[in-house]
Amino acid sequence: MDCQEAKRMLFKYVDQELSLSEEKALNAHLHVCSNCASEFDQAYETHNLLYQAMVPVEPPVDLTERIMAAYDREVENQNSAAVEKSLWKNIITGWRSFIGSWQWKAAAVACCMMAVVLWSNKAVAPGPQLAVNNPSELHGQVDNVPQESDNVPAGGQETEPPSVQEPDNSKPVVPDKEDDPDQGTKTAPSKDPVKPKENVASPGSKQVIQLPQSTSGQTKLDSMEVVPLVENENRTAYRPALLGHDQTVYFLMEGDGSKEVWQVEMSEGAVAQKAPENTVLPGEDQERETVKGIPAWLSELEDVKKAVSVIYSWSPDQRNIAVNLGPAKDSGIDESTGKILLVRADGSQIVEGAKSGGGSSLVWSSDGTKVAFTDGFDYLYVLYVREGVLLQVTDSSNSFQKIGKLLWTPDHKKIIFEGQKNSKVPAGIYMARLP
Amino acid sequence: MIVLYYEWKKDVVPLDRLHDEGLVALCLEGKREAFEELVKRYQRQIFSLAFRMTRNYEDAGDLTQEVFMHLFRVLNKFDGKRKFFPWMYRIATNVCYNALKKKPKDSYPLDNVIDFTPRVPDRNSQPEDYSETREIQQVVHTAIADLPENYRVPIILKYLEDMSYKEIAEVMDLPITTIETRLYRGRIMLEERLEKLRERGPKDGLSRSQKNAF
Repeated sequence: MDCQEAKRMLFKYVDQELSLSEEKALNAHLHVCSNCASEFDQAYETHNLLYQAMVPVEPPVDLTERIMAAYDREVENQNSAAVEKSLWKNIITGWRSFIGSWQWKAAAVACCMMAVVLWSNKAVAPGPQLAVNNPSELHGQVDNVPQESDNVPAGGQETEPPSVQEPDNSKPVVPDKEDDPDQGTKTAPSKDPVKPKENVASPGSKQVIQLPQSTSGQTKLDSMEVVPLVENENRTAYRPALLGHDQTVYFLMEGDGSKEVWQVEMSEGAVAQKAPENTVLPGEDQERETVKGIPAWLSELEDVKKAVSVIYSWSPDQRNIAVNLGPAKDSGIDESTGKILLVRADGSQIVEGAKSGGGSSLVWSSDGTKVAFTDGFDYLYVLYVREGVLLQVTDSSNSFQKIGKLLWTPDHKKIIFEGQKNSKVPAGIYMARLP
Repeated sequence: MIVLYYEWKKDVVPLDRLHDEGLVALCLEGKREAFEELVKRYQRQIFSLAFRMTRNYEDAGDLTQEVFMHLFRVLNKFDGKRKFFPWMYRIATNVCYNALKKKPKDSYPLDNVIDFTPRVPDRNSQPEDYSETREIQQVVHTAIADLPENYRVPIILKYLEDMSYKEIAEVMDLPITTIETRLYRGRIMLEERLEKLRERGPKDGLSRSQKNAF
């Protein structure tokens, strides 16, 4: 080995990247060459200095929080882009059929809303804007999201409407969390999504923010398709369950003195069949095992105390609670509708999500962007939480006498439920597809 | 009657016990907590990397956030059959590297390096060596900072993460021989710049006994 070769090897030796034979050869050379031996010392010392200096650095204490706030904004960006896209398509394709008076109005309002969603800024009428923005506040996301959608590969963003602009109006209402002076970190745009907005009711005042576009029911878009999965003339199909198989619904089939677990694929016209013998459906007990209490302030809320029926449902991230309220006990027949409240668990925000409600169902999609619920007539609705858009799934032309056991599919795009169209036919299993 | 639904009931294994690849799968299902767990698991490493690359504590925080957001966006491209960490680290390095290229060098005040160099002075030293260790670290950091990026990045990966040449080559997507050369040249440059420090002798943590231990 010559000196040139040895020098090249010094750092590799220090880095433990030499083979055994190379190491032996180098050692032999260092024994006889004092010049290279001294270079080795030098290399080793440099290595040591670097080794000492390059220790990990403790990040700012709030870094996780900041990153997760950015994550929430990102998720909302993706979701709202997807919803905007689908609604937009919906409105355009359904335009010709929107001739009836209220339907036309609904379309107009919906378009207006879309405009708000797409181009909202302070110049837009305050009413709908509030409506669009507030529910999203509920999720702790900030609207002034950096415009990164161009280079977002995932989440169906590629085909979003061209001029999606996030309003920058929420900037002032995002409370600046105290800086960490000892860390000297830069304050992220949204550090604490849970803090209340200035103009939002505190739990003390119990003020409920109205969503103008839902007060008259005008945002109801009949755009969901309901298809029967199981309709049997003689036997009752009920208690649907998803057992982790994305495309299979399991349910109980009862009639002719027997009660069995059956299964059916999630597609129209699929043939139901008996499930394998060992298939066990989750029992009622299991479904409630994760039951979680509700905050005291919520049960003390005037609306909640007065309602004839109340159902709560925690959002998957456990930050929000949806409340399906029946009509007030003392309400007259004219105002006998229930409503949906969306609240922050910490009481910092209470938003009226829909002017319909009062049924026995209320289920969040597992991504927390939608709530499916029924009203007092067992009409099924889906509320897009962040956009404040309400979709009516079933109505008088497509009605069920009873609807229950709502289940969101894992992709958040379908709802499986048990329904009975009228008292003359047994209950069946149905599927509603979101636009 | 109050009925409560809570649909988050599939978990059997606590998230912090799940391996990275399992967390990625959950992230892809939209599970926020899984992503949070990944953030908690690796933010220190990514932050350290960003800090060593940018030499600015604030920028390092922003950059760490950017790295995780980028990760989130490309998570669906992760090949579940491979290890997550090298993939993630490669993305992190690229994001940091690109950020460096965008930003003019002058905008990184070196003062920050001095202010926020680790609270734990060194892996071996005594408390009385603290201030001196800090001073040494300062000089070393400045010397590293002055290296051209080509040489700086592999050295950071080598010493911060204790990566092998092969691992660095994977992260930087370069042949091992290139990494070897860059590490060699980079350290030769550093040697010249750190000569004064080395001349101070054993107190700087350069004792022969340590060397022998190695």
